[in-house]
Amino acid sequence: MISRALKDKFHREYMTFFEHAERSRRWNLFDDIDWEKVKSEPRNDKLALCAETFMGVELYLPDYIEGHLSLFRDNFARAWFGANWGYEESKHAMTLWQYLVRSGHRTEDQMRDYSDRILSKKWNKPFGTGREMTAYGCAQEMTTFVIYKKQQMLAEAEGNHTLAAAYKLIAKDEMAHAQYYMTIFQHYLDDDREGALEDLSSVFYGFVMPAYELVPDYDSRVEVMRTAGIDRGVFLTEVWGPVLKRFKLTRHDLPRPKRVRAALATDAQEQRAP
Amino acid sequence: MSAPAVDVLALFQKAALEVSGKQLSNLTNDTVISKLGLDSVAVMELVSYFEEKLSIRLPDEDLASIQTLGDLSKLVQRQVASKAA
Repeated sequence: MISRALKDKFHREYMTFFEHAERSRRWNLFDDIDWEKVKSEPRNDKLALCAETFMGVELYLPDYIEGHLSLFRDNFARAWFGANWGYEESKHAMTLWQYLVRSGHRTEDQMRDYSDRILSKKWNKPFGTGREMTAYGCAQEMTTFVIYKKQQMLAEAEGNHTLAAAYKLIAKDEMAHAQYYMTIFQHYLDDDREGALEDLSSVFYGFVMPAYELVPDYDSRVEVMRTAGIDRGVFLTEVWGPVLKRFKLTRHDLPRPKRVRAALATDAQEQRAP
Repeated sequence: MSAPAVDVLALFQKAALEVSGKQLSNLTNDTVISKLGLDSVAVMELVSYFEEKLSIRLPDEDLASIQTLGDLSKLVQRQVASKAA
């Protein structure tokens, strides 16, 4: 149960987030992307496969929203953020869907079959508390931002300007979501630093991107997906680096991961044993 | 006085077993870490184990560029030496 003071801060942050979104960040997938150009751009099966995979991840939206609301149903600001976030993410999936069909890489039937296959599986949230899932949101949204920015640059370099324009709009939303989650998590840190750091450590050392393993034919997508460029180096420097910096932390400020503590405790016991 | 050399390969093998439950064998300095079947998060757990065990800190910017166990070994030896200095 969170305090009224913390709830009030969340409310204030959501109003700021929402006002900014309404005044300066909203975009329209039908009008703000020049779809006329897409047919004259070069076919690129690798970029299309990546777009289809990311769209697949976005399609688990019902589970993400269900997971979010199961934690925040009784908190106005957090629940309303979930609803707004869901709207924006739904638009991301629809934008990539539109790209794949309008560019001729997929047919409408193929997309519907794909979405049926996606929705036949269920994603479950990886952490059980609102504070952990907020920490998870910081990293997950930042990772998504980094992936989409890299895809944007790849698409631009290969002459796929329509896809690049779509990724640019999506990435801007993802960064706004990451910023929101980080602002909220800073309040958790201010409220209970020790507990929040413990949760941040759990998430840092237990992080997996949502739903990738659920996407159909995942194994055959992996090689192509490497172009997304998320490896340990990127994860440390471009995802967690900015997140921890925002909290004026480094990895060394986080409590050791639970499995490491357990292993070290076993080591210590063995050394004490006669 | 120079710091005693750390057997990073043996420690890595021990850490993988104790922390990740993964039995690794035939490790050499040329072993590519990403080919060991450990994901990025598991590797960071092993790094955390090293840091606590050896009372050192491995900078993230250096960790970002290591590819092989030899790279990790050099980084660890450097940090151990700078601690002893």
